[in-house]
Amino acid sequence: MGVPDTFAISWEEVEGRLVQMESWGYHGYATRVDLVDREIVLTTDLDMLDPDTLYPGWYDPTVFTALMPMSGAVAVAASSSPATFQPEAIDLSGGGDDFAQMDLYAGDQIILGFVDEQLVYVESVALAPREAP
Amino acid sequence: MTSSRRIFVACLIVILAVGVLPPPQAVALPLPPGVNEAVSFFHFLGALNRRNRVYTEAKRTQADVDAYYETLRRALAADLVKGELVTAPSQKPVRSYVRMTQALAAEKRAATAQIEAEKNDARRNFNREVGTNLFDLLVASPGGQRLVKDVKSTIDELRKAALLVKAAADGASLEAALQALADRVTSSEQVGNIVRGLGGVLAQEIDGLLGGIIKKLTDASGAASGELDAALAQIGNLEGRLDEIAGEHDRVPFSIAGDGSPLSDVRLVKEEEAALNVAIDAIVKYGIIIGALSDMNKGERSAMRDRIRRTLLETRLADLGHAITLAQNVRCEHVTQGAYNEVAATLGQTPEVPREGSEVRYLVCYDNKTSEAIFAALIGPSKSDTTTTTIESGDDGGEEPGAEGTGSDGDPYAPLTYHIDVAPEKMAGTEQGFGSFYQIWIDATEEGEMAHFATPGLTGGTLDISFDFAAMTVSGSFDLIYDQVPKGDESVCAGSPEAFYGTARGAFVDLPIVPAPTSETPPADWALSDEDWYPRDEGDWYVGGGFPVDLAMSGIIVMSCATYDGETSYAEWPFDEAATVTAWTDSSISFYRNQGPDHVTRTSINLVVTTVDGGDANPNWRYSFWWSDEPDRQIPDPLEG
Repeated sequence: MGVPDTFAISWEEVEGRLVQMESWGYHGYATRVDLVDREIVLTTDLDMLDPDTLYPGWYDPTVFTALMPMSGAVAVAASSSPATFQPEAIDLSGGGDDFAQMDLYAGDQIILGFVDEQLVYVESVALAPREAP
Repeated sequence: MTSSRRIFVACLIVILAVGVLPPPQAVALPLPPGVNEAVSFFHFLGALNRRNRVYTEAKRTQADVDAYYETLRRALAADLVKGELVTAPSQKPVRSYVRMTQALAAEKRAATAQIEAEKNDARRNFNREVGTNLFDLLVASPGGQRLVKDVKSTIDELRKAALLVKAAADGASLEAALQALADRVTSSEQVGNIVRGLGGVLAQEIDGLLGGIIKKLTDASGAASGELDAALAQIGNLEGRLDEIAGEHDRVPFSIAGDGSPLSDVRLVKEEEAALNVAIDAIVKYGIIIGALSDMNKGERSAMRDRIRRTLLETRLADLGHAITLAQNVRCEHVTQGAYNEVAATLGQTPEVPREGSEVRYLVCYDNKTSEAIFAALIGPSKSDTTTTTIESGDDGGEEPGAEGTGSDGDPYAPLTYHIDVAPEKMAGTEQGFGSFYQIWIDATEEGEMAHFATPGLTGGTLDISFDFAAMTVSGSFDLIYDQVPKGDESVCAGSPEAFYGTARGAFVDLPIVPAPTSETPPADWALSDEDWYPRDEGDWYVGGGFPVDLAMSGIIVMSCATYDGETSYAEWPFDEAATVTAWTDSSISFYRNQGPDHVTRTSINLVVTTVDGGDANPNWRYSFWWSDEPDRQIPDPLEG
């Protein structure tokens, strides 16, 4: 099956340890696979998107690990991009103290979220043509 | 997609993914603070489809979130009950279910907090600004554009080469033109590999078109003009298609994290009585949380779990659908004895009575939706002759795949022996219980950094137990294996055992089976801490005694890792440790007398082996296992002399 067309991974704290929650989308097969701590727990149907949708199939979810250093995660995202696009930081300073420990990067159809410069969220996103209103 | 195709695809994904996925990753403490809040915020922004609705239909947001998580939770629960199997035998559906529901609950709480924060204008404006910036960066998609541009460029080169061949078909330069075409075909095949990075249906479509063109051009290398014309026409079609894709599309990010499509087809691993176990675990967990079980050792907790199980069965909560509802909606409280007695009576139970002088607590559980009491239990030593639970029909093992037991239905003094294969897949089909944990703390570096890891999966081994009721002794031995397959890739980072192999071996011989000590103080030879002691129930058998256990572990632990410029470096620490430590059996044979309509007496055996505290030794080992069974035969009764 290869790497998924899209994926989202987050690490959430449950009783003092991190649980890895992730969803992999194989849109060509209209199938989504959900994993917990790298174990497949369920598969679900996905709606088919517009045929002109662009998928970031160049990212491999297994290279992103819990609490990965920010510099490393950003470097992986940049080197995976066909355009070697360097993810850019989103300014969170307007959010005040609540966001002081967070960093958010957006790259080539990828979002990276950090706490204390450690990776806790990564998501690759498809780009679908906007539906006519 | 048809149901059969979905199942096929799901199976295929599972089969393929299980082969390549690294195993679960243990993350070392300390965790950065506010992880869940941050993740929720990122989810909130990442779920852009849902996010768009947030701004236009703010009132729907909480309902959307609730519906989304409720749908997921219900689908999970339904499949757990159905027990449909579509995954590797090593997976544990209950464990996954519990972890997933816990994580989902944490995620939902944090998402709800985000929604509440949205009610604040400043936060709403901030979120909107961040979301806009995120949106603008994502839709630029330089990678996708680059791929489309590369494909277009190659197609253009192909077209030029094909035209050259066509024009030169009758001339002297044909050979050179064919070589130029061959070069372009080679580069097109390379692009064919690249274009698969576009993923989804689009990549399949372009890949197919490109492949068709290459085939036609290859066939046309003999200058068959008809094939060349067909290839040129197809090139024109593909260029037009690429122009459409690269055109002025107004694109929007699609987030799988925010996809709320109906979960029409959810499958989990099958496990016997999975839902019932979830319900029991939930109650035990609540007991621990409220402190009702905190003073108990593992053996007592195990016994408590058995009691809860029997009660659930007795009260017909073993119905899987009911049990799973219980697991999700149960709320347990630590109550007074009076409140417990009242609830127990309401439930039609005879309240249990604590053993005189013992410290006990009382647990009552309610259905969250109806607020009706559904469970009541005394936690701690009780007068066994007052228990109202009945013990389900036991089997000491002859037909169980993981255990073989021999005994006698007629002579209570006949020996009772077990030979047990404790591999999880073997134990799953038995009525016996088995669990273990394995921990080690090692001063791993010159700087005094402590490495610690725990509970790698038990993969196999045997446990032999022999009760001699004529001599009133018990002997046994165990040889257990804990194995974690090495991965050797970059998926493991700080604090994770990269590879692990451990064993635990020990034997105890002729430990005396004695009447259970009811003293408030531990026996003179008690090897564990005084806090671990509790008086046993009068009328039970007890086995206590120390013996050596050989523990050994070898493997590699990753202390830290870092990735720069795509290269990951590791600080790994190999270990190969072995030690002989003292273990202690803290075991019992409990009697449930005059149960059921036939007033039969049933027994429950609990064997607990725990290493004695290693103090400041380096490494500091912790090892324990427990095993339990309800033999379907008579045991000599201590009250009958």
